[in-house]
Amino acid sequence: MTIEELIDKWGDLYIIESRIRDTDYEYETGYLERLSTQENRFIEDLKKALAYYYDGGIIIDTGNNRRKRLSLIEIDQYNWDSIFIRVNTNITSEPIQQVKNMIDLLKDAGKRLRGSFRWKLPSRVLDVGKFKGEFVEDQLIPGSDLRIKSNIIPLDPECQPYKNPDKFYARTNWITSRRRYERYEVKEDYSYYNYKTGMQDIKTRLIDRTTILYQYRFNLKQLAADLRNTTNEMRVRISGIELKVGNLLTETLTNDIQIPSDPVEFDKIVEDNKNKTAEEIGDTLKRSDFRTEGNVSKYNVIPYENASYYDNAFNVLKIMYQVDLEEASSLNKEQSDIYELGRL
Amino acid sequence: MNWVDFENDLYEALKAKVTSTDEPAASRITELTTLAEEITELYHNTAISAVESGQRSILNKAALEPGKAAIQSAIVGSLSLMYNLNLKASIATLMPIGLATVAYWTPAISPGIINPAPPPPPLVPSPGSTLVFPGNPVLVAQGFKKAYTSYENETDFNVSLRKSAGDIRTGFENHMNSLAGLYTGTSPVPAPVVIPWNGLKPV
Repeated sequence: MTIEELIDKWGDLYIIESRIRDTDYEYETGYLERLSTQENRFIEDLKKALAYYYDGGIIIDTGNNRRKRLSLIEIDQYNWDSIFIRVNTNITSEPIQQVKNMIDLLKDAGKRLRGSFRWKLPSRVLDVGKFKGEFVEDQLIPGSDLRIKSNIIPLDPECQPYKNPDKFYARTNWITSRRRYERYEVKEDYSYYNYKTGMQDIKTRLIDRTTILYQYRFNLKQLAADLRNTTNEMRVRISGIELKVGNLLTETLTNDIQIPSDPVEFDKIVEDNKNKTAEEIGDTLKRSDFRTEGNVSKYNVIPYENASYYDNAFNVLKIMYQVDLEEASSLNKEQSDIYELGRL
Repeated sequence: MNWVDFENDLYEALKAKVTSTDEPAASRITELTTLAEEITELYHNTAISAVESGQRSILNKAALEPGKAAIQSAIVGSLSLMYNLNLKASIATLMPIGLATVAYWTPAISPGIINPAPPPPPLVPSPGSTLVFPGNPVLVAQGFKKAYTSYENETDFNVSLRKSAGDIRTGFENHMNSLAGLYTGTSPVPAPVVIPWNGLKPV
């Protein structure tokens, strides 16, 4: 459930309040022992919306009107258990305590969540020798590939939600509590003494009482704004080695001069040397192939021409919901096409 | 060994292998294996004399020894292809030499091959200077291609050999300049610090 769907269903403001149980003709008052069915449904929907909000990929702004999608690959399950399952275990306990528990858990949620987000770039993982697990990423930087030590992209420790983890749920803004006093009457049975007849019939009278009502107000519109603001302050940090892609070099291979009589055998020599390097460094050529079109054979090679250390932080533009994935997929494909056209 | 010495010694080696003055310079070489061995040895001696831009030298020279075989076999393989199949030099046929040169440098990706000293003050090496990019192989292939295609009409034989030696040197030198690495150290704070360097030059 998205936060927008939560608001559509429950409105901008939802209030849970402790109430008095009052039984007629008995001297008994007290708090409700459990949330109403409707309140329980609200709590469940709220939990889904909170979990859902951060449980997805992200769109980052890579500059020059380019955007990139990172997929969420893992989130520490312990954190989610702490936040929500612990609430579930208390679901049948005293209702106001239950709400309090949830608020307490949300207080800690940001701190626990900040280090647990992990995204990954769409990437081609190389699995050779010592290079196992590292990968080269296309298109994050125009004209360059990026070799990254780890495919896990963490939240930038310098961003505000990391430094101030309470921002993750900004609970003080969207959950508020207050007390109010309410007068009510209870009917009390009593007996009275008649001087002629002694103890007489039991009669009923109304008694004024006052109770404190605890009220928890869930400002869902404020929650949506807080989540958006938090997202806007989130950044991811990506570091690695930037490999600058060189120019395409094409040789037209004609019968009598350049083409090896056995390109397969020649490829073996090239591949053998590339493999020797790949174990240590991954790809050393962006592209290297023989292609025949009609009667013309060509050798195409695009080298990496230099490399430099890369360390950059990107603003998170959007948390992805599942329904957005198709949109993101087309976004990446479009950028890929633009990149290929520009380079070649 | 510096690049001037490399070029001079390569010129002498090429001249010594020449068997006829009637053929183009590229086809006068008959002892490819010996020539390849000599080129490789010259390159190795030049490479182990190099320092990166932070003036840190090759500390573990033996670690680069195994890469010599790859360069040597690539030179023999590429030149044999050209001669045996009567091919002209091309990037396509000479690319193995470039790739082997790249492979030669890959041991320097591990710490300890390049000297961690002197560290940039006030850093403490952790682990120090390492290679992260073993160079652009096309540059080496381009050097060999130019050497074997540019001087067929050169009337002065020694001049053509000198130019060929210069082209091969330029290819290797350009490649070595394209190597890139990082110096990783710890500051007294402490916090890891990474300083990039570019290119190696023999001294």
